[in-house]
Amino acid sequence: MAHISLKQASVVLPIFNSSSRSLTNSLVSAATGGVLTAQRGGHISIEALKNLDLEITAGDRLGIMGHNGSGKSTLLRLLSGIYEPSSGKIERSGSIASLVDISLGINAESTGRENIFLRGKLMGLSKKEIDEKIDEIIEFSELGDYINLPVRIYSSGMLLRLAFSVSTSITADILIMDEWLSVGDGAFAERASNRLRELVDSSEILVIASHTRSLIEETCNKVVWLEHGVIKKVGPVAEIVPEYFGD
Amino acid sequence: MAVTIASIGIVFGTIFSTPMQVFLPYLASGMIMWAMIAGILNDGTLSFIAAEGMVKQLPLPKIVYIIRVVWRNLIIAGHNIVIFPLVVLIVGGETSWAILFWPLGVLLTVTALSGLALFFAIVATRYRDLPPIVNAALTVAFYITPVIWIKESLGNNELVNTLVSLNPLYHLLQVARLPLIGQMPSVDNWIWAAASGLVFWIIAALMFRRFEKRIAYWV
Repeated sequence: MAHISLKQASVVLPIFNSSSRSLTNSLVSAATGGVLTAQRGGHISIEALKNLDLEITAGDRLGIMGHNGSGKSTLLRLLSGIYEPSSGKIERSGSIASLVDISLGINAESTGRENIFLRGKLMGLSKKEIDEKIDEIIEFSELGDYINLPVRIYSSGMLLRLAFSVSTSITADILIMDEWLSVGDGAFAERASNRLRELVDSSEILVIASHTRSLIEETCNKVVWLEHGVIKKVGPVAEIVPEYFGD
Repeated sequence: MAVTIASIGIVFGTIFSTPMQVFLPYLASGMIMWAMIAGILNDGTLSFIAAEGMVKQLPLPKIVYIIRVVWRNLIIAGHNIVIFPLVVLIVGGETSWAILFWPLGVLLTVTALSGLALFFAIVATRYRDLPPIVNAALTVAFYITPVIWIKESLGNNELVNTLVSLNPLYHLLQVARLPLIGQMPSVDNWIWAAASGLVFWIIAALMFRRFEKRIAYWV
């Protein structure tokens, strides 16, 4: 069973200025005891997340709410394993797929077909799995013969359709998203939404950060309310969402 | 690369008054292998910085970013090496069974330098002035390593000879170059190359174990 648990997990991000990023400066100040360098000492740190305790178990559809800078993205990165907590612990079981940046790894010079492999590999698919899925991916993207042309000639809509089709062709126990992915126009947007819905339904855990009330209410069954890197409240949607929006 | 080799070949071959069929293959093999060595170290230092977007979005094993860079430079070297047989075809030159050891030499050099690249990559992510430092150091290294000049032309000055032998890049270059021009690298070359690789990897592994988790914070 997929599950994630955070125990007193904190993420402290170092903010380096140009001086503390310099090896020569650091060596000089280590050798001279800081006499020669005008700026003393180090860098400031931001406590992006402070002592988070959170249990996410199979069946959870967790929404993350909070203002800009409250730590939503950092929390998503912590949950997907990009940041290891600077203190505290994270335990995770189950495969993870992140749909935060679906165009990541797309190479403009390569053809659509090659990019399906590039993107698929980055999402952890094997070559064999991609071989099996590629026809379905191409069909869904509605790119037709464009799939054999370099991606740099694609319109931005086509590019997104390609990225979306590959990224949603995976199956994972834990799904991580930053806002609901919406791609394309008209009929495609609806098909995309259905496909994403299916993917979400087939996953055991969904974690989604969002500002959109309707999305949280329709998709989630549990909400975390972040404020200044601390969990202000956590609980069922019906309880937290009205409070968050102040009604 | 071909033009560089031809130009340097004519000038330096004349300066050293070495016959072209000896000097040009020596130069070509040296330049091509040095380009690979410098490429792995220069690009390797930027492994994490250049892949910032991926480091911040994907939980990939960090070693992947080093392999990417090393692989890219191997492909480039594979393109450059085509020049070498052409040189031998045009001016002639010696080849021997020693060439069978070339893949081993390249493998040793690339493996050793990957360790050093990993070490540089970690430090460079934290200290952003390391890439230009590595770059400048490699320019110096190019001149103090017998890439375009021949070690024997230094004469019998023992001190200078010892200094050259202390340079790990010299031995790593020798094992990847000499088999191409029909010479077997000396036992010293093999031992020094392997030993420096071991040292690079021990330092890199210690750094990696200590700082692997910090890389995503630093980029």
